[in-house]
Amino acid sequence: MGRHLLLVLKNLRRNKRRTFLTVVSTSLSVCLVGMLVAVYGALYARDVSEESAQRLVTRHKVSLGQVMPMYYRSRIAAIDGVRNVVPMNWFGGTYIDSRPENMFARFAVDQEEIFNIYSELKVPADQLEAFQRDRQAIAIGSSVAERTGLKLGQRITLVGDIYQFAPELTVRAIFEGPDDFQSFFHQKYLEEGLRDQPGGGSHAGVFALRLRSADDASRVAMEVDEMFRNAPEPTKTETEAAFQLSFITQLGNVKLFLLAIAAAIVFTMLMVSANTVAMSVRERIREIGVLKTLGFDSASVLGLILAEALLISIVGGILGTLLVPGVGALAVQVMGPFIPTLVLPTWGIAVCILTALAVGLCSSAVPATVASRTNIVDALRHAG
Amino acid sequence: MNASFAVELRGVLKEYVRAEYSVRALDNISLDIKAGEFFCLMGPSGSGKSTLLHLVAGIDKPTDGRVSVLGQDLSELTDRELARWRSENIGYVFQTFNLIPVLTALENVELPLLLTGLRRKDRLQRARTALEIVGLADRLDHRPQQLSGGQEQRVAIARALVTDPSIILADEPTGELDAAAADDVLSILKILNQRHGKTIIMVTHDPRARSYARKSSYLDKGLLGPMPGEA
Ligand SMILES: Nc1ncnc2c1ncn2[C@@H]1O[C@H](COP(=O)(O)OP(=O)(O)OP(=O)(O)O)[C@@H](O)[C@H]1O
Ligand SMILES: [Mg+2]
Repeated sequence: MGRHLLLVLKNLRRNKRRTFLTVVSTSLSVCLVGMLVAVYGALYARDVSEESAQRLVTRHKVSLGQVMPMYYRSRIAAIDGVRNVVPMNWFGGTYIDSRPENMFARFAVDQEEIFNIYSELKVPADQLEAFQRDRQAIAIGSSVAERTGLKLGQRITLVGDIYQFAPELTVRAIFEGPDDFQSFFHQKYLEEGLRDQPGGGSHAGVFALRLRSADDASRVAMEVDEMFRNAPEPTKTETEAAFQLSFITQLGNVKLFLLAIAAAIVFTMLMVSANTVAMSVRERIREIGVLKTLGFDSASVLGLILAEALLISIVGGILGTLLVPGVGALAVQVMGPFIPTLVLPTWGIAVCILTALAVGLCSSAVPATVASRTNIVDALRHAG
Repeated sequence: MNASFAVELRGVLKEYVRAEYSVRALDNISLDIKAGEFFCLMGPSGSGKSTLLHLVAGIDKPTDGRVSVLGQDLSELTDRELARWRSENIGYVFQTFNLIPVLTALENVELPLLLTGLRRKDRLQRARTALEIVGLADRLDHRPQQLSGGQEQRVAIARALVTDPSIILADEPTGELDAAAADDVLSILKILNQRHGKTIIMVTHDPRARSYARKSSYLDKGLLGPMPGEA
């Protein structure tokens, strides 16, 4: 086949614009597929850090909207293997407006323990102390500081939506870490603000647990849930990774959604590609007759046409795959840090290239077979 | 089977059966063409001349009868074997040249050699030699559309002879050419016949072309006969 490569390349130059457009459309489609794979990877095949593996999240068994009484905390802390437990309440609310940069996550937490549980969040010692001392302090992630321009000492007001309360807070700490588009303020301050309101009182939306060892995760999770099985507020405890996933999959069947989009893209790509191959073969029926008259057999003709289509797909596939990191970074920038970093896992590269190859093969198999089997005399009589 | 015959047709019948009609393009043709012959086939349009060449080249199959070329009964070969056999034994020249437009003259001539085991260097050397024989050594890198009709046909002849086949089939090779270009092409065919010993079978309408041939036959409505007005 190698010696026919020249012929294949020359054929691709026959209609440079068409070749170019096919390569471009293939690479864009492959890039889109790559993005979906990256999203899938971020959701389902995320690398779990050592810290994260040591963490469990306990929530109300029925839904995230329901809270658990605060006394659960000490009961959970007593379980063997649990190092710390911290209650966390999703405050929600609004900071200024709903522009993406202002939509950082806000939790009311135990200010003494939160950075012990999330030890990968690094905060300077003096800031940590200031944050713990000031009842109305808020600690923000460096991404929040970067995007909102908030500085240490600056005062902000959050307007509650879940709660009828507008905390007035001072930025006392800025922490760095992998997941830092979020902020923490004192649970006590929230409880005070809600003292006279319905729904007030001391409770937790979730408990975050830090274990001594990741090996204890399933045992501890079972013990926690067992402990509260017959309590008025039964719990569901899972690893942090599973919890994050269940949070996202509340939105719907994400896997099916991703698969459906990918299928639509691949199908479109297949149609475009098949049309191109069919067109380029139809124009060349007569030439195929000539080649066969010269002594090329059907297999060679088949090989030539397949090679052409496959070459386009490989080039398009590689270009498309190379585009993924750039487009992923762009998407993260545009959509804000709510979506995880989008990187193509190694197996995703294979998925992209194989998709391109499969599309190339499927789209050209039929026209190539038909062309290679064309009766020589009919092909020679073909006009054009 | 006589080896001194390049082509032997025995009772060859070719019918095109279509849904709406059926045509008998060749009707019980028997014909022997000696090796080394310059054979000219004439006849009105639609009389089956091209069909006969197709059968000899093995790019079409007879409805009935036997076609044997260079001692090989073509019906005994599979399509794949036939392709290989054709690449080694037959050079084909079309009325409309049929060069590959994206390839240069040299690459067009090299094309049939891709089917041989030759290295690229040797392929190009042979393609150059073939182009020299047809007087186009100075047009190697020209594309077909940069050549005149006569030059295109000479490239096509070079392509037909580059594999050194025993038989060259030419279907109205001068049909699209003016008198001067036609003479060039015919002279080349004559040289190939006389100096290189190629068997040439040429279909033509052109009475002048016939004068280059040593032997001719006349085909009319699928039946073979002598030239009208000759015994
Ligand atoms: N593929 C085909 N399908 C149907 N009929 C065909 C086919 N090829 C040839 N014929 C018919 O067979 C007859 C002989 O055709 P052929 O092409 O051999 O004639 P020809 O002598 O070469 O004519 P011309 O001088 O016009 O080239 C014609 O009537 C033609 O219509
Ligand atoms: Mg004809």
